[in-house]
Amino acid sequence: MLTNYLKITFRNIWRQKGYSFINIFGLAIGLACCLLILLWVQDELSIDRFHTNADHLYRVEQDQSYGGQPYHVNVTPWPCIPVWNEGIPEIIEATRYGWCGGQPYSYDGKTFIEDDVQAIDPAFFTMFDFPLQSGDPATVLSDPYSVILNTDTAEKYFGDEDPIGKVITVDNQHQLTVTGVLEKTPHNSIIQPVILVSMEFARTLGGYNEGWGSNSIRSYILLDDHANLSDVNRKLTDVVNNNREEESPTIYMAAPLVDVYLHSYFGFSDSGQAIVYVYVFSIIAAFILLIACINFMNLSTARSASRAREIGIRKVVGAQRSGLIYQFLGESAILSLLSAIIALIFVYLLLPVFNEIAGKEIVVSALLSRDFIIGLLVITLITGLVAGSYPAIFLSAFRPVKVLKGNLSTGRSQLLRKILVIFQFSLSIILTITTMIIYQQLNYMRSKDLGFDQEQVISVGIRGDIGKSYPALKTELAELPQVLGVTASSHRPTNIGSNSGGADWDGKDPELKLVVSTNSVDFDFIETMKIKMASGRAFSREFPTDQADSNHIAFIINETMGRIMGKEPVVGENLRFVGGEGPIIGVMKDFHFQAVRDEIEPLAIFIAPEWFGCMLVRLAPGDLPSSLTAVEEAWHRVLPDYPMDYRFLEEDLEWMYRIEIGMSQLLKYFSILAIIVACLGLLGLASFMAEQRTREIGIRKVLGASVSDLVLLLSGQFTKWVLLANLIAFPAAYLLLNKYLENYAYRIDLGILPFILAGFMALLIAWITVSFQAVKAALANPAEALKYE
Amino acid sequence: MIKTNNLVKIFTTEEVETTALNKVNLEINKGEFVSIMGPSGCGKSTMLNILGLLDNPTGGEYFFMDHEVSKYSERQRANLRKENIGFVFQSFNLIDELTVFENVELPLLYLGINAADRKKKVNTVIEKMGIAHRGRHFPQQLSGGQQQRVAVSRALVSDPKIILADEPTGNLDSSHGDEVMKLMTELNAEGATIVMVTHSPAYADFAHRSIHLFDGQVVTENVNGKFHV
Repeated sequence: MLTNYLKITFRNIWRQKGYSFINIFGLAIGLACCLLILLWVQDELSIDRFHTNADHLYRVEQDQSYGGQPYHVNVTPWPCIPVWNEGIPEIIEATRYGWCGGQPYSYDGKTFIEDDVQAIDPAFFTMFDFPLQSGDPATVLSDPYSVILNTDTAEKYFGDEDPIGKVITVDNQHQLTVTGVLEKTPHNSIIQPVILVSMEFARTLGGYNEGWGSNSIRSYILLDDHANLSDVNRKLTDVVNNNREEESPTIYMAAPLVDVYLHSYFGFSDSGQAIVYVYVFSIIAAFILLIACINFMNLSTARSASRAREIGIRKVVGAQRSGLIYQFLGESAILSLLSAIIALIFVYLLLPVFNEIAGKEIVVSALLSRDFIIGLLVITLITGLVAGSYPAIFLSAFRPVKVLKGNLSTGRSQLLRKILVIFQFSLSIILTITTMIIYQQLNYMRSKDLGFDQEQVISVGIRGDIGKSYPALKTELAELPQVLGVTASSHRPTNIGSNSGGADWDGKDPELKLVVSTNSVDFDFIETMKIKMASGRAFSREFPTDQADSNHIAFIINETMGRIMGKEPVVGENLRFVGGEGPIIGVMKDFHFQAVRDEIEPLAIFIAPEWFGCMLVRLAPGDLPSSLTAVEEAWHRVLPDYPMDYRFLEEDLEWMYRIEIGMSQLLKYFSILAIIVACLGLLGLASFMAEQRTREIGIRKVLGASVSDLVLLLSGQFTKWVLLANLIAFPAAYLLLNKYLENYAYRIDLGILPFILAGFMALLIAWITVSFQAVKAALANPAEALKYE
Repeated sequence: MIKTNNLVKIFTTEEVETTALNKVNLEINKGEFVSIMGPSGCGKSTMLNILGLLDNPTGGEYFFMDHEVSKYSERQRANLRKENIGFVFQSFNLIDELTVFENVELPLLYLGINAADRKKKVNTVIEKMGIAHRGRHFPQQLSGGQQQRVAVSRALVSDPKIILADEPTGNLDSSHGDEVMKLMTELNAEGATIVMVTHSPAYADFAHRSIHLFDGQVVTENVNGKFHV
């Protein structure tokens, strides 16, 4: 019996090549999308799970409290880890992971500014699975003047030579011996070590901060099997409070490392970003597959007449209905299996492109992983069942008496087909609108006036030894005609990442706890960045008190800060902040110093050269390459031994929106595929309907209908369906996207244009698809059509 | 073998109620060759469908081999059908995707007969029908007469107690039609019970007995050329 079923299945596939193609190819596209998304989701979920201790590793985070509202921070003060390690028995091991980069590293005449340098505790190598290619993890950091490199960095300095024992000079004064080289870090790790140094060395560099108020490093702990998390959380907070002089409302908590990537959040928000995309793309995968399944259902029931006789005969000679249901489910399972094979080929071919768009490094061998194969089989089986369910139930219910006489009524199935096509198109239209809106929002963020001019500005790191030459550099560069302005800042103005609590002024509501972003800048910062002043003045050399000394600081604040202080005028008010006190000399108009998706926060800037991290150089418009060459030549006149490691501020924006850019690209391709699959179905259905109406078309032609009359007749009903699909898609998309846009503090208005455009596009594409068949049918010779009578 | 008491079949649609069979009483004995005649729409095919357990009557009783089957479920009827009844249709109703051999084999598959026995039985019957050389062909590669022989082979292959033929010659030219009737007669002579619906009085004469239906009722019965009212 099974062979009989198989024969029928394959002969049917072969006999009806067009429909089989649409079914198998459509399902293959749907499955391929699904599998790519499965790989992507699998990869997202695999992040940080490769550590042997994955289930017991935690990152310590904290909720600070401002005005009663928790402000979530993923970093801690430097001194936390040693006191926790000593005071909490559940902690087996602990390490800090603190940034102390930006200095020039030299070896044998080669110098690089190394930005990605992290200070760690020795437990780092026993807690995590970051194996060493060479070096002994137990002793690799026993000498504070040791350094561990990843393979790329080792090769950069030493080429083919053995790096172990070589000495790198840091900041022209410290000698670090290479004691270890890391093996390549898996891409699905949020910790990507490049250069690792000891805590003692971080202290030497001055990066180490003894205070309890500065939160700037990541703290990781390994808990024992029986640790009770709420106990540990309580102890984390208690131990800190026991060790610091004043009580603080800050609450510490251990966040499982494996959840950090997907669920970590920051600031006043309380939900992760990455997990949202996991949900979104899982839903999209289901949508596309559903569209393909609907094609299968529609075409199978539409073609039911051709199977009717077989069903009748089988019933006459003794088939039970259940047997027929199995037969048809089996058929669709075979079809979906064939589709799955084609889908696997698609996935194999598309994987490199997909990786590039999604920013992933999924390898082909992932296709052979156990989880993926199980996922593949489950999805294929479900697809087969979903796609085959309706045809199986519908076809097996045929009454032999009727079908063998040829009077088959398919009224019920026609209605269902209509509903399914409308549903398919609704999904496609929703996807299209979503893609357009996400693009619009992305464009809005990338092109929004940030409140300063970020174009043609380069930023160059000036930490450590280089910083000493900043005044000389500034003088040299300012003389160049290609340079319009030079200033310095602790952060690039596109991304000011430090903030601080404790701002105070006369008459401040004592209940008001505020986080204020801070940035130390040089004179000319406001002018060079073209930030507009709302009131007061910019920093000026004519006022010697503008430069901060030990306890006097002159502040410029932004409008948001001014509004919070609520003073009129605010200029001239005294502000106590960042360990000093001084007058507010001016108010800047608000500018975006973080991603546009976030609300502009209060900001205070002041002049404190010891905090400078980068030099900002505005270049004259025009020949950029020659301007850069001139700047580089000037740099080398001052600092012949150091390379000029620069980047454009605009690159920051690309980096900031990289997730949105990648996701919108993916969404675009998936929407296009969804529409293609939906149209494939429409093509099949249109050709079936044209075929079914051959006689009617013949009679109409004999009676004088023109080709255009007939095309209109045949396309008319599809037009109605797509219009109806729009009616369903519009409100659904509106609700969905309204919700999505709420994530953005600054967002586009949900205009009507994308809706109309998407609806029109769907109509146009459907029309082209259907017309193709309609014209063919209308051009057929009526004599041919009528002779069957 | 077959007996009906006041068999009624009413088709109901939203607007009309059509009485296709109106209190039909009928008895067919083992080994008989009976033809059912009558104009279009008189209920011939409805009668045959009910006799063949493809459909249930609306009223009355139907005894098939002494079992009252008029209230049987689809499943019960399917089981009875596959073991006892062979069908031949006007339009052959062969499955295009299966070869001649596979078409004939189909009833045996549903009877759960093993492959070796199936092969023997199918080969025997297609040999007898003179289409053995066409075993690997698909229905569309055959002439109408040959296709009907395949259909008859399929009806015979499971050794049914009764063969029901619905205008078996309707789609055939006269020479092929004659051939099929000859076949029917031979089968009957070998002991098969046959009930055949036909339009053609000439072919009806091949039967022992002709039953004439009109407006859902039996109007005359003609045995060996003599009329009984």
